[in-house]
Amino acid sequence: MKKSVFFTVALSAVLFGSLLMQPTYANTSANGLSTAHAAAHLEKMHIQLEKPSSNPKIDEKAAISKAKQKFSKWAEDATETTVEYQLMTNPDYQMFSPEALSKNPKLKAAGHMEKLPVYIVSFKGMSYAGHIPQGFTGDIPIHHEYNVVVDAETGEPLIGFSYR
Amino acid sequence: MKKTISILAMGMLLSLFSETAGHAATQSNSFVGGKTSFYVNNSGSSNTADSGVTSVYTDIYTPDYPTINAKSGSCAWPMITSSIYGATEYVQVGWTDDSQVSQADGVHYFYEINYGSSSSDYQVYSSVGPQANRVHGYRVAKDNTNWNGNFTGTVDGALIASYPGFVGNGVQYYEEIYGYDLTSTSFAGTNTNKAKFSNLRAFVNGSTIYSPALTMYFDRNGGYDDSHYKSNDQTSYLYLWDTRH
Repeated sequence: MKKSVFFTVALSAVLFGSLLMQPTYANTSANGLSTAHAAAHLEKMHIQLEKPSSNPKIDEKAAISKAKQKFSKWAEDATETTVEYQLMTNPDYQMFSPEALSKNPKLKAAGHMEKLPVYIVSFKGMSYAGHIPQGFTGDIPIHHEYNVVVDAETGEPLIGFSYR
Repeated sequence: MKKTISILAMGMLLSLFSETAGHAATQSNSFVGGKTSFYVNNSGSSNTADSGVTSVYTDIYTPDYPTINAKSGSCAWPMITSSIYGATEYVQVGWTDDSQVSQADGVHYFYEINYGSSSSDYQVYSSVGPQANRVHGYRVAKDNTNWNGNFTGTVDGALIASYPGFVGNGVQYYEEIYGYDLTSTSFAGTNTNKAKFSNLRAFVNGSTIYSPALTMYFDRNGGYDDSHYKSNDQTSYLYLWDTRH
């Protein structure tokens, strides 16, 4: 009987500990938008998401495949992959590949993402340290989730980002 | 039944501990390059105080991209740092190579900014990266010359990110290797074909400083030659490389 109680308590402690170890992702919703991304962090990164009003031209599997190819390390080390289809605006990023620009005239004309239909492919479960200064003595940031934004009209990867 | 529960509990405990150990204990960073800091009189609250380091720039020539081990990477960057508030804040732009699969897909431009805590670190990666055997210009600069404003990151003038700034008081120019296995993960450059940092500049309290006086530093396997580097000399440059190759 005592053993049974001990193991029940131990199991509960382990399960509770496992839950604490996992990064938590809150779903946010505003103006019909549903996303697992953290609004405050996206705002700091000047990334705006909106609910798309039309269907994507390429399918989800193709987007994941392209993201895995372009950012292979993230894909290899991830224990979970999720995808969202969104409209993305980001005025602070211009470093698109020539292929991404030539395949999407709207993106080429704007020079940045402006309500662009995209897949956000999220690779989760890795633990990568940030690039720190030499001589750094603080707490090293560890990232557990890396996101690849794929053009939902052309399938071209556009940008990767991480904030948690 | 009891036996099943005990085995389950033991298994979960073991997996929990092994995951914790794997994540926390084995990552490391090694550097080769130089840094310096400046006197900045600004508590971060006034436009009348020193503006601090508002820009850092360097051209980086990379002869070839280095050998990468699993879960590891190699990169090169200029950085603005701040120790004004106690905790170190920093912002950098550069290239990183972290793929064993494909060099064409593994080399990316990146920008990272950290606001003084491990939970406020933001990274942006371009879908493209620099070609080997080329020179590219890497700059982090405030979008205004006051103490506040955003830190914009550019490569050859193309914008990669622009996020809220801080008051900088230091600059760093480094090659770095990082991750879980640095045994054969290499710095860029070899004994016979070295990487080159040139046109090093910093904009500090309203003045441009050409080739700032640097304190050089190297970890194991990092090589440097600063014999062609003189402060305030616009023609100065540094050679950096991996001494194993």
